[in-house]
Amino acid sequence: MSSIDAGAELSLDVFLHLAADAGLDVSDTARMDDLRRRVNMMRGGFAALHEIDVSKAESPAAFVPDAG
Amino acid sequence: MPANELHYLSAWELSGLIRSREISPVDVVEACLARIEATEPTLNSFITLLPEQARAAAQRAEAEIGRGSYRGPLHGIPVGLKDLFNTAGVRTTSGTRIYDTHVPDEDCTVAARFNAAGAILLGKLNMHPLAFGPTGENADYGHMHNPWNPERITGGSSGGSGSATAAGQCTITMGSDTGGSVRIPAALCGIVGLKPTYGRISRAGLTPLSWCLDHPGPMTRTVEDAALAMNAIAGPDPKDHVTAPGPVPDYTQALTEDVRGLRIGVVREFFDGPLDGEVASLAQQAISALGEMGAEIVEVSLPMFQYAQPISNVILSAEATAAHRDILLSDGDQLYPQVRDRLEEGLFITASEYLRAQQGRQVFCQQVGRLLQDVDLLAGPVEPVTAPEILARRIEIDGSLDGAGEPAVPLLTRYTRVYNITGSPAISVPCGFASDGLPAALHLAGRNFDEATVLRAAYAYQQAHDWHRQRPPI
Repeated sequence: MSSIDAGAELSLDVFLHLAADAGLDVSDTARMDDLRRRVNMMRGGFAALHEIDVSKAESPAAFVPDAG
Repeated sequence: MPANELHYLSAWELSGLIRSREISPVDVVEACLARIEATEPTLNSFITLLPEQARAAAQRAEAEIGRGSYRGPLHGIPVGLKDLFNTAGVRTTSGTRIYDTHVPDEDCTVAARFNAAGAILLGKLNMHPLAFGPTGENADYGHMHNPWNPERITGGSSGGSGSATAAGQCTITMGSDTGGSVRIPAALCGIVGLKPTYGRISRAGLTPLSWCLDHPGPMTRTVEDAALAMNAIAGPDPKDHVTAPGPVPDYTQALTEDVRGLRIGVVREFFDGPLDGEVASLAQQAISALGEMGAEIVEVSLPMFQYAQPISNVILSAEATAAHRDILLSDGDQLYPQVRDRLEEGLFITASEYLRAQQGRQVFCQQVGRLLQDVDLLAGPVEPVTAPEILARRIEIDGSLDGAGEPAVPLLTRYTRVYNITGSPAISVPCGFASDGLPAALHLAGRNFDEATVLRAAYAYQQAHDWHRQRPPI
């Protein structure tokens, strides 16, 4: 299985692997085709995130230990 | 006061009459219940109505007030809650049949604070399933209908809150706003919707959509009622770790009708791209009116606006799917198809994409923060269009690039999601009607935790016009 490049279109193999791993019923071919089309459209929109200079932005998901 | 007008009085007006015992909460509740009976077959605002519980509460309020135990301006005021606010002993469906029989043991903090203030719950309001959509569609409990034209959407996800407030079924309602779900139905239904700062109102006991974007907020017919609701429900809550510590101001003190000295920035990018000409003109007229009243109007630029959609989409989709993954996998075929589709899409967002969007959010917030060092408020339209037809998937609009219309979901959240990203307080206030007879709205946003300035400008604008006194034809 190839790696998942951020925002990149998912190949059929990668998509089906991820779908099965997520718990979706991949035997419904028509539904999976439609979902893959939508997912790739959605992920195409993420490419814009890489135009933002985030070099000085830490994700807010930083861990803050409980003082108590 | 004719009984047939009580349902349209504001909480501000009703509270004076109730306190002086010129009218009873029983009269007010009966007026709203009669209004609901007359309009509900058309509007479908409610998922669960509580007429007997409301009547009993009204009688208790009447007795308390008669004994001199007046609790404050919301005592005896009829309210409605979007059906994702947990209510003890009353089912809370989150807008889906999957939770049709879910009855919480405990009130959410907002419901508990309304109860403590003496407000009377009329029922639980219809909503886009799981709050995951901006239109107000719901196949399980029926679509919501706009009181100004029942063939048009209310907007969502707090659609029932929008229609119930606009049509006089409730005096105050509550919605929740993750990408615009308070302000969108407020704008499309011609009422006031306030999304306070993230952390100003507790989320405890609300069904989550996106933990870091969800904002509960009041929906009212007047700005002063939004201030009264905030006084009752805002403030720290040990049950919600993101609520801000410290005291909350009396928001009614902001209602001065004076905007002199305020600097209002008009965001240039909000007027580029798909935007209906009439709606743009109404928003510009409203901003000009604030200028004529003494505010200083300046143009500002928000280049990061172009990234609002991917930042919001990644965070919202990933968190919504995390929040609802279990029912997606166990009962996905029972979910509203568009909601199921969006939750499934969220399964394919990677951790690195989510964190990249959170980093982008920081940069976005920094840019908005710099703008708000120079101006007190940012202004623009709430919605690029008036209410579209129910189930419209693409919307014809000036500025559409391909002539095929714009996809409804991103179009309806185009401006509102900006302030979910930043967490800033933002209000939708009615600013006129387009030639289709449907309302348009002015969007004002301020610095974090400065709801007072947002309310001050919105109130001043409201008082100089009579849009809030217009009633839908239903």
